[in-house]
Amino acid sequence: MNFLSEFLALLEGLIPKGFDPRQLAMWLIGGILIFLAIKKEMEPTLLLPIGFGAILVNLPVIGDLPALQELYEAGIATELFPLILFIGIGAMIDFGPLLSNPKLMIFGAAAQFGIFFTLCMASMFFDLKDAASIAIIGAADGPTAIVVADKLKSQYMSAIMVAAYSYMALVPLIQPPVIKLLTTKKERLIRMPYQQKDVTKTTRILFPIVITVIAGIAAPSSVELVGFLMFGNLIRECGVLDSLSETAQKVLANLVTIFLGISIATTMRYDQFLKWQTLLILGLGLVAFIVDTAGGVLFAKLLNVFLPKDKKINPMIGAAGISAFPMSGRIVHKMGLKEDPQNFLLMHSIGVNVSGQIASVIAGGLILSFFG
Amino acid sequence: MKNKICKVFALSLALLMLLSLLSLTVAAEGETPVESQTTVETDAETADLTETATVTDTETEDAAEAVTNTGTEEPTEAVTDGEAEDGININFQPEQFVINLKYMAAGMVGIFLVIGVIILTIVLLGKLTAPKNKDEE
Repeated sequence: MNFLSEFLALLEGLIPKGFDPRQLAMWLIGGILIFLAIKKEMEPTLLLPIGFGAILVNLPVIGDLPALQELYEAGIATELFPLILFIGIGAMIDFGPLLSNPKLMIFGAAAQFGIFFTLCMASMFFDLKDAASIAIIGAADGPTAIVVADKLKSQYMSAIMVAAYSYMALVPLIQPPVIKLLTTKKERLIRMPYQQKDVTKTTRILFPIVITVIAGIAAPSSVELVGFLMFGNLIRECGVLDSLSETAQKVLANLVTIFLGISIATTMRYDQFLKWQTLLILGLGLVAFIVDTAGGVLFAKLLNVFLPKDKKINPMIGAAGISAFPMSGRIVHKMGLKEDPQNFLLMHSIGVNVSGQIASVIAGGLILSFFG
Repeated sequence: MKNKICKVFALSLALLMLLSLLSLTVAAEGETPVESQTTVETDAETADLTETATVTDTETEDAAEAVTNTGTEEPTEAVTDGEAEDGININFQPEQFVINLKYMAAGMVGIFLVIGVIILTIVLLGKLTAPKNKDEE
């Protein structure tokens, strides 16, 4: 007996100070994120740094990791990283398909339904500000989720971030079954001929400026998000800043993404992350994505009731109204091709997808104006 | 079968929207402000009554109860860190779904309005810049 207690005391001495068994669980979670990033190629640019960071911040070291903490304070707490990332995203997006058929933008608005539905759902479990931060997972837009959750000072930041980025990666798995469930084969076969319309350079240049002004007037809380996104797009479209545009699309976006991922991971400490609320948030995030998709599809079906026979819309394009760009647009296109190899929905679905990017930012701004 | 599911789903969504619009109307008739005012009541033992928007102190060990007052509505109790660490202690308040439907209605109306303005602007931009383009060509 004496030997056993001495042996246990010896073992206890081997366990590093500050160790908690829950840290092991976090290493496992980090490992899973790294596995998903490398093996399944799910948003590797973010899931890999987040996964590694989750392991790093849960090592049994005494005290905080000051460099990581500084990075978090400088980049996430000030919302600098997500906003800078928006410049890169803006520079990557070609708004051409949207400008040639602006009516498609209405689906971007409809597909934000999941955000507000989830807000009501989450309010049953959380206080309103946390519920709003959780609902914004449905924006399918990581930077918007970070900015909203940060401005609303949500205590579930890490869970929201992980849910937002994981579900964005899971869009190819989440959307097709929802679309199939809500549409008939006949509807999926609807062809939508694409008429190429020339968009003048002046329109392309004026578009980001005008959108920023409208967003600034209509939803002032979204002006930072929209402004940075549109600034990136203006760099792209102006035609005289090609090198800056290229830098924003590649170097800047990649650099910020590296720091963003590892900074987010600083919030993934076992004592903050391993809660039942985290599971609930993951569940609510999934609900947000599903209802977003359903909102877009059902809205298209509703419009079809009023449209003449030859102008019917393929309701699948409504699902592309979520902001996961360009994944969502491609999924709809692929589903269309699967049903009918001659049915090319790419330009329509990408147009809707791009509008989802703008609509999700505006939805974030509205959420902020309600609860900010 | 799928059509039936679709119809049920669409109907329930329509009903939800109707409910949310109704709750918005009711809220507008009353004195309910759109923005929520949140106060925090901490444990009596801490004797620390804090007036902040939310519970931000994640290190609080005492169970804190955040009470959200949205005008004349019933208060919302929030789950905080202290409670969470004690195990499964999630405060389920189904009535909040209906109470907060007004945000859904306001949000959807707001987003459709803004997007509507953007669509009109794009159409206008296209029309205003089109002749210039022809001249250039």
